[in-house]
Amino acid sequence: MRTAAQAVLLLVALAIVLHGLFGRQLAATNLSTVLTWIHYRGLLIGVLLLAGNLFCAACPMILVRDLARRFHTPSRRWPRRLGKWMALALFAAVLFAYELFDIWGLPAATAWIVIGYFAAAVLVDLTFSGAAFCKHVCPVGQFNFIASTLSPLEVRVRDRDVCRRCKTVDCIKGRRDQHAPLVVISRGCELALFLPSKVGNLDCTFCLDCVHACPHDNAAIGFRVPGDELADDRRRSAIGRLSRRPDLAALALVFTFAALLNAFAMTAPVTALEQRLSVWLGTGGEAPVLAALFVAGLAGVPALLVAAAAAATRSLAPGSNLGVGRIAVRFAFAFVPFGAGVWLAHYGFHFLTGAGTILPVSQIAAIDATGRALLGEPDWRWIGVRAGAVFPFQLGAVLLGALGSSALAQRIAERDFPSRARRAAASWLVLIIALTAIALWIIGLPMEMRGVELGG
Amino acid sequence: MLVRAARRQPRPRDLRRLAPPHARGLIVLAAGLMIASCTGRATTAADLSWTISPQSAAVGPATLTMTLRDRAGAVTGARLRLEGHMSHPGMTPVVADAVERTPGVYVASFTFTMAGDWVLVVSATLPDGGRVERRIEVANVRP
Repeated sequence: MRTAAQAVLLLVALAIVLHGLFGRQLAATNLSTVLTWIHYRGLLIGVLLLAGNLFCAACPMILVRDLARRFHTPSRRWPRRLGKWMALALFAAVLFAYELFDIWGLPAATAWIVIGYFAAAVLVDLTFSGAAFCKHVCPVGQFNFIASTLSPLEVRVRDRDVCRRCKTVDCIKGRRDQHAPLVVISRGCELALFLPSKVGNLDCTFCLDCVHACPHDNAAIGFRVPGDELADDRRRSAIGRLSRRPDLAALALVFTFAALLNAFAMTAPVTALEQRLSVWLGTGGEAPVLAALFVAGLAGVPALLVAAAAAATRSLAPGSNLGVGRIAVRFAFAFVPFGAGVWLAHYGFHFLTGAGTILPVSQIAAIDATGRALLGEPDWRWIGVRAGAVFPFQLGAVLLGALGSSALAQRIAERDFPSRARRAAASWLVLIIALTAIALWIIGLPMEMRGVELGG
Repeated sequence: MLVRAARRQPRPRDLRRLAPPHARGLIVLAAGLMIASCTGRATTAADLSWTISPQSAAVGPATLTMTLRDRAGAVTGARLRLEGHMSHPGMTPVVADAVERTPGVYVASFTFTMAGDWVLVVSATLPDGGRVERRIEVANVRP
């Protein structure tokens, strides 16, 4: 089943690359840009929030990597001290490059990004053992890991007593042929998530290797309360406690603030802001101005806001021995539902208003490939829902996310400041409300589909 | 509530068995598409020039005036079709057929429905069956 899904996505990736490189270089009419930036992104966030991390499970890069590993077995271990910092930097870099080069409008560049992704996945995973690329490098994977904390499904044990009696721990070690120990029958978890102490979906690619490896049939997909794990500070396998992972807290914040920045970049006021920044920095180049915007939007402003909220918590709910930094790390995870709501509002807009483009663009691809209208002449009559009709959906997504974030902030406060929970949560609720107002302002702005260029 | 995931029977090295047909299929498909993508449609030596009004484009009605000429002079009786796309994929395009106002001069009326960067693709089918295609980039259409 997984291999079949991977094979289907591999064919989709092939179509993206071929049409991107050899088809007409007009984003709206090329499978490369339409499938990648309209369909993949929209479906990705939708499936993450409605089911689970199924796109990681069906990732075609792992299929190619598995084939490559038949010829070369990696022996090195990824340096764990890097944590998620490198992946976080790559995640931010991809978002920056997307804006700087207007990649949504470049079919060939999109195709090269897909090729680059495959090459990087194979190179990293031929060098390092396990799923090093997924866990430590893949920017899309980090997005999926964070968003999947809100999924209603997770992989978990069915009966903990069975795990306590288990001697073989095949879910982590894998199963090998008894007569030929070098032959792997079923792989254990490549992300080092030991199922009995796994909590939630962080770092889980939903590959189901553990489910297949468990000889007791004790691993399964289960329903759970979405987002609940973000307030759960139990020690989790291969991750530890969330409250001691500033890298994951930073990932949660970048995930959230990047959602706002990415949506804001499609509106008219960003042009005015960039022009002001350009004058202020004394440069006409777009790269330094955009870099300043990103550093401020993804690092400076979030750090200041979260530090201020944490300081307020410390002041309003004294008695705890937690410093501002540790309070900030604990509450940072509360922003994830809001961030996911903004991503859903943004990517959902493009998907709902442009889903039907797949028909005419496929017809164009057939013409580009064969010179004949094998699928008929491009039919642009229905390409999606009217833009205005999507606004209630966007509003709902943002408000639902804000509600989830508020509930999480309250729960984290009750966990860490049990005697003064309301006072401890107050500053975070104010911040969530302020960010929600900004998000609603952004989605209420008329969208301006342009590559931002200084000087208009 | 727990849902049991479908269990797969252990199949030693099943990728090895699956891979060759996959790989063969993909190579054939890739080769086919690459070869096919090299085929182009017939074009002609006719030249198409254009002007747009209003010159400083804004959301709302606009007119594209196109002049079609070849070595013999104005090309009359051609069919010109305008397809306008935003630079971002997934947005509603505008489609308009041009009307020949004077010999060789064709006018297409359309509406810029959204602010931002647009690409207008003009496809002309000439009386002799030849085709001309031009891409016109209209940057920064104002709100």
